[in-house]
Amino acid sequence: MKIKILKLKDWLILSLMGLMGFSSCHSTKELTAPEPEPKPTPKPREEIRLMYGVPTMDYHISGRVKDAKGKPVEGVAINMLERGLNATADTIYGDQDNIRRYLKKNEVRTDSQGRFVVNAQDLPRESVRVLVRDTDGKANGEYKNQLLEVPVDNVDRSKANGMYQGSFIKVMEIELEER
Amino acid sequence: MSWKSGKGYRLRITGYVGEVFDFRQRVGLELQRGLRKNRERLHPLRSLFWECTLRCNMHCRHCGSDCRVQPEVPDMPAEDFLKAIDSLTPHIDPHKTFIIITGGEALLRNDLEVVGLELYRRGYPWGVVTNGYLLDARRLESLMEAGMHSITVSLDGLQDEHNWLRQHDGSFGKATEAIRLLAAQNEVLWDVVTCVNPHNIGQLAVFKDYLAGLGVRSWRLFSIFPMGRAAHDPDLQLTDKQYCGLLDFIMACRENDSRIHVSYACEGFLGDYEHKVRDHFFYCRSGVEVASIRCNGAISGCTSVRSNMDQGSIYTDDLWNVWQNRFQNMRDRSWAHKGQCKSCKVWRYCEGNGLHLYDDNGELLTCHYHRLTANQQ
Repeated sequence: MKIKILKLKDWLILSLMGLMGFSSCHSTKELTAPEPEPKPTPKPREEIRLMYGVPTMDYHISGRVKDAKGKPVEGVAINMLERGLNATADTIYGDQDNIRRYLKKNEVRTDSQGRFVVNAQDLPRESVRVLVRDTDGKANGEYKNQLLEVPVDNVDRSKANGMYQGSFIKVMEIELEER
Repeated sequence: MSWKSGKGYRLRITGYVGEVFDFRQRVGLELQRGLRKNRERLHPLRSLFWECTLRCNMHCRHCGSDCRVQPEVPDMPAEDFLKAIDSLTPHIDPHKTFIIITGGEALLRNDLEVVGLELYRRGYPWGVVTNGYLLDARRLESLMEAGMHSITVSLDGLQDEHNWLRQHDGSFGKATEAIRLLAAQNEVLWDVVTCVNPHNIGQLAVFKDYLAGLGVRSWRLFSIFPMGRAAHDPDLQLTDKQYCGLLDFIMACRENDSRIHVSYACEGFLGDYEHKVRDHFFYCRSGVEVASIRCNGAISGCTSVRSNMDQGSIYTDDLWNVWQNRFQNMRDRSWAHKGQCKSCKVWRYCEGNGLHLYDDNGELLTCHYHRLTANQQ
């Protein structure tokens, strides 16, 4: 809460300074080059040039988690992982306190129908990793964790413009294996 | 009544601080002060410098003005730096933390593109500060392929003056060619920085025209602060009158010349020049929004801050933990309220100038504001 209040105060001061015609930080407006034409069909990722800023894409990954009998599984934790994390289905390497906080902050959980929705914004990628974890012990059954590599294909680039590269929508059916 | 300073009416207020500012300027300074106090508590990590090497291909007269150059310190392995970056990533939005690669001369590292691509993949915008000597078309291409976001090139005057400061006869030609390459592209942000000294201050107007002709659109001017090799070299230090002249020049450029955006460096509370010679009010962001990783792994605020203010090391500490829990002496400047600052009427807006201007004993070496007011008397 305290952080939220500080951030709100930050925004209010910046807004007021802006109204008075003051900038509060090093302005990069003067460094902005003329914006290139939008590229609705980008080149392969390794050829994408950084213009000014960082390219981003929206990721909407939704679906349903069920067991081998087709029964929905509630309470499963789903995360779309940062690219830099070194992870397996059961371990993410690094400071564990930090990892726990990160996972908690970014996870969604399946509802009683096993449904989930992940909304994220990240760099354009060729694939993303979705971590599926059973973290509620014996409640709802016990299942093995999974780390799924999801190809990023059929990106909607109808609204791509400059740094914004479009949106990726994926609907998944995830079947869990009992431990 | 116009809000703009110098146009229409100016409501001047002499407040308890005893300094005369425009009403608008005073309100802006108070807001900036509030913002600074807020940011000290939030401490969002907005810029991270990486001193990737202490090797250099030049022997500039003023270098070591912000650090002690010890070429026997080996380059930090790329994996060590990336490991430190990975400790930050779970806690921040990488898109909002700018990685600035500096040195020594950063382009001496052959693996710069490897590191840059790893930063790019992690979502961090990154840039390089360089003397331009090694920035040819091929190198620029490879840096851009690795996702470089921005680059700053040093050019310290016309040929004789630049080569004098850099102590390298070929440096002007190479830096100028680098600038021409940058001017010919529009994908990477770039600017030019100049260290103003008694040898080049008389030609700033001509030099500005030269830069505009090269295609430079953004130009930052620095004065050389008295550290390292520059500490006792009178050839490098501007007089108070020259220093005021520099700020007057910048102000005039900003008002009258639309070809090129001219700014003064980030240091120093500048009194009535505040927000007139740069796009922001002064506040020292070292340790508040800016951190650095030195070549030997030390963690600090701005790279220009002396090593006695180091906060830890990436080899013994977690970078995020250090950023969150240390830096107290940079986020609370009450310790600097002493000496010439104790009775200063603008302490409220300055809080002891930039931290890079303190010596190893914690004493302030120079005060920009006093230079300006001394010249006015």
